[in-house]
Amino acid sequence: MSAAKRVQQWATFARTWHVFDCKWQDPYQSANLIKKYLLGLHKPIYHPMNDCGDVVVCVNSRDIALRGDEWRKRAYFHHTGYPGGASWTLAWEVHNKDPTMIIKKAVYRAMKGNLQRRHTMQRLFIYPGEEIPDDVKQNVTNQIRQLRLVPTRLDHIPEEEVQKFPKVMDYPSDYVLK
Amino acid sequence: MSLLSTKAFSFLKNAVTSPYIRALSVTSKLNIKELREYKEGNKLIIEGVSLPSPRSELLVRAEKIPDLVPTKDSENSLCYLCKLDLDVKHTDVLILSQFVRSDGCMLPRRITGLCRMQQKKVGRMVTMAQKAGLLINLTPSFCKKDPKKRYGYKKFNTYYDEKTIFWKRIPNQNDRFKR
Amino acid sequence: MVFLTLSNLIRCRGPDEFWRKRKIFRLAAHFLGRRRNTYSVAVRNVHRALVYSTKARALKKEDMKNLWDTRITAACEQQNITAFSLREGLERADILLDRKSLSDLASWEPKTFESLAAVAKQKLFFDGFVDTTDKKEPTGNDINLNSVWLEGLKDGK
Repeated sequence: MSAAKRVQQWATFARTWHVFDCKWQDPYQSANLIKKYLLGLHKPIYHPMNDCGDVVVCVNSRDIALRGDEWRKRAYFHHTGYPGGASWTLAWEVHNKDPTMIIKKAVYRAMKGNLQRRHTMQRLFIYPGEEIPDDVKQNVTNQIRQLRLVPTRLDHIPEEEVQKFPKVMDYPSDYVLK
Repeated sequence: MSLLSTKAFSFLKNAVTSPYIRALSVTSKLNIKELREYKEGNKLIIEGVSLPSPRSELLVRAEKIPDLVPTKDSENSLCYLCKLDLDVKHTDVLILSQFVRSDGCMLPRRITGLCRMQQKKVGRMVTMAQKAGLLINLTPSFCKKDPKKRYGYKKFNTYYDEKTIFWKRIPNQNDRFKR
Repeated sequence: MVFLTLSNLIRCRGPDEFWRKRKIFRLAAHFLGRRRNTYSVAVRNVHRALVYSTKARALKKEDMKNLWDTRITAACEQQNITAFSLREGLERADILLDRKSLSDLASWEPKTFESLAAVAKQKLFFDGFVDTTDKKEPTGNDINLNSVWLEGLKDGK
């Protein structure tokens, strides 16, 4: 193999480090996206027997958003193995305990249950806030696009802009402004 | 005599309690935008002033947009929001805040002038935005302004799906196992 | 075998037992334990294996199709086009390539694939075709640049 070919081989199979901002993202929808990068499904050289998966760093996992009333409706099941050892924990309780747990479980469940799954999970780093260790940070070269837009709060928009924004509704002439 | 006394009583009663007494006011009823209250000497003057609406300059209407001018007669009966054909989401706080009083209350239909469907839709989206903590400056004064300080599950971020607004029944999780 | 006597001809029923069994044992040669050594067990497992291999001939084609589709989808994402609109565009431009050749081009000749995607995009643009399956754009109307995390990373470095 020539030197150029060898370098091409290295470059093809090198792992890329992606960062994913979980702020206001649905963990169960973004798990499918993260899974794609972890398994290497985003590369045209993909093969199930071919170790071409990338590394994904999730930041801001504390700020994930769940749909509707899922924070108090979705339950996580655990069984100790002893009789009567079943327990159900609600999503918001899990998130209170460990802000990385929900996204971790979501990605784990999104992947097919084979022997490779636990090794693939080793390539997923989740951090509750924006601070990540420097040895992780220096590898990051790409950002995965978010699925949902981060909504803007009305009190964060400057007052002028709110006044200037085109209006849809007009008050009737006999309305007392409150 | 008894007739006279009942007449006098009813007149007095009307004078005290009846709403007709207000019809005696000089200014025309409710034709105001702003109530001004000020003191002149030891007199308290409450005055209703008709003002131009601050919104009429910025108003967007489908009739003004050449692409959206209604072609069919049936489209003329639509309300102004239906005609605009906007895809409003609960995160569009700049639009939703126009349908809301300063305490975060949705305006009634006689003031918004929307059709029944749109009124319901906008109302639900305002609720969604309030629950997601996007309209927190439009709340009564006693509310907690920071969503992170809410209690229990309410302190975490929540988003909503606009498709669920007109669902008759939210599908149960267990339904997919039914045969 | 030639049997000159009638009694021997009657005794001989069908092909020789040894060769008949040997045929099965050859097919069971890669099995383990009694599955390869005992005829009555081996023949059952050989029959099962043959059924599997018959079914697998169809399954292999399906698996390859899925693999090619995965690869084409991945390559299309890099070219910012959906796999559906790539197919549609190439078909309209009379470039009739199948999944196999497209996925081979995607992995071995990325530049060729890039130009194919460009052709498809241009053709669809001329035809005024709108891909409704394209869900890549986030929903909403305003991209909040404050949330682009990598920008903050650059400042921190």
